[in-house]
Amino acid sequence: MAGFKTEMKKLAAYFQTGVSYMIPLVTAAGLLTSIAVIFGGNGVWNETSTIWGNIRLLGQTGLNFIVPMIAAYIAFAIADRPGLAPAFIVGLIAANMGTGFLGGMLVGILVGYLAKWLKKIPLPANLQSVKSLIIIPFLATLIIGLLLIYVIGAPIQVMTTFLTAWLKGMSGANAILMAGVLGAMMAVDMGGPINKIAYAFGMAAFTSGGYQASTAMLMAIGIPPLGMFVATLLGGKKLYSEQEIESGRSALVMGIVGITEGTIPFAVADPIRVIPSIIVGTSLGCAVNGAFGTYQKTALSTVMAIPFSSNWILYTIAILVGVFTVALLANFLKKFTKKNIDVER
Amino acid sequence: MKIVGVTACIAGIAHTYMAAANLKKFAKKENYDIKVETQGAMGIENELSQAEIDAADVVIFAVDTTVQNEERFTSKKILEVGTSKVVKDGRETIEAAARLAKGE
Repeated sequence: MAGFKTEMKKLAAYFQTGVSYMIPLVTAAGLLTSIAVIFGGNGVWNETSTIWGNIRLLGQTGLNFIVPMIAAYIAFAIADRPGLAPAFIVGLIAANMGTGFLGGMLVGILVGYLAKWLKKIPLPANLQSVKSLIIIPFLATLIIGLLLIYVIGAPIQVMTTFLTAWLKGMSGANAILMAGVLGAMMAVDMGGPINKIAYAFGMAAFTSGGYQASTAMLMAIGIPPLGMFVATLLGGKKLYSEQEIESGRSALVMGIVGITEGTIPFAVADPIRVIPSIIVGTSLGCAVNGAFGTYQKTALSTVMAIPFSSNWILYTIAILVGVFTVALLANFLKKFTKKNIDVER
Repeated sequence: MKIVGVTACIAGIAHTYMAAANLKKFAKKENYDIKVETQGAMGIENELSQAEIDAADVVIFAVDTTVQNEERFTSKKILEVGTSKVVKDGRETIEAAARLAKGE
């Protein structure tokens, strides 16, 4: 049982390695595509005669690379270098088959474990170089590639289509609920494992066009630090130490660039009051945005995505609702239970 | 005591560096020698040489992902934890590493 547990933990690390290599790709490609559509209009999709058409081409090419990239770097995490090339090839096939994020992850795992297993097969020393150069890349590509094409491709494709339809068709109460849950998950551990589960889900939705889910997830990133910055502004020296007010200023910067971890100093100092406040505020902000139905198609976080949102006024209102809920709730809890703080000290 | 560490988180922008800073801070308090390699969004920084790794009494992996070039550390005593744990409580991690080094 312990062995199973460590293996699951390792598997999580493999996924997270894949995601970590994928993040810059998604931000670059998502931003390029959005800029092209905003400045060039919807006509950019089918032409390369203008600069906006070409910027769209850059972005779209990048987006098409999400699935191969996640497959390749999951395999890389498992088997190191021998996993990389075969997973790129098979990952590209998975992308072309329309198996989405799910397909990419599965290809990464399969290629990775097969390559790792092949690495362990003992061979005479003079054949070692042949093994790493030819045998592993060739066999891993051939076996997993054919397995994908003939066996597992179709069912994943069905699942992805189903998931995509579900995400895109989500509206009303369901959309609000999903946005609220994603917001809460993003806030609860400020960049820790639960946050990354929500992140991975949002990214998976993003790659299959479920922009409501990705928007909620990305919007949540900056709300906790921004909220705590506003809380230090409003609460001042009565509620916050000199050091916390200083942390508030860096939280402002971190909130704008999209680093939830900026909230950690506050949460460490006063977890009982700060963590519930950021969960409630972030969840509410995301839910409000879900109710407005505003979305954005970049992979940018909270503030930086404002210009790219489908309705920047409503989108900004939702952020403000979240930020001020965090701030007011945190300050209220601190004020309301101040006696306890004194006792604790 | 000589400690070497590797930190890596998913986005590679915050936890990686906060964990590295915390390891250094608490190692210094105990007067341990420490060098921490960060594997963040910028790639590998402050890279550990094989000599430094060989000379270390214990290795700390504060990582949420897999460690790059992990084969450098074969046959070392390794303490593996998540980055958030180190960010929250660096002292505990350093103490655990020291215990591991002493073989307790």
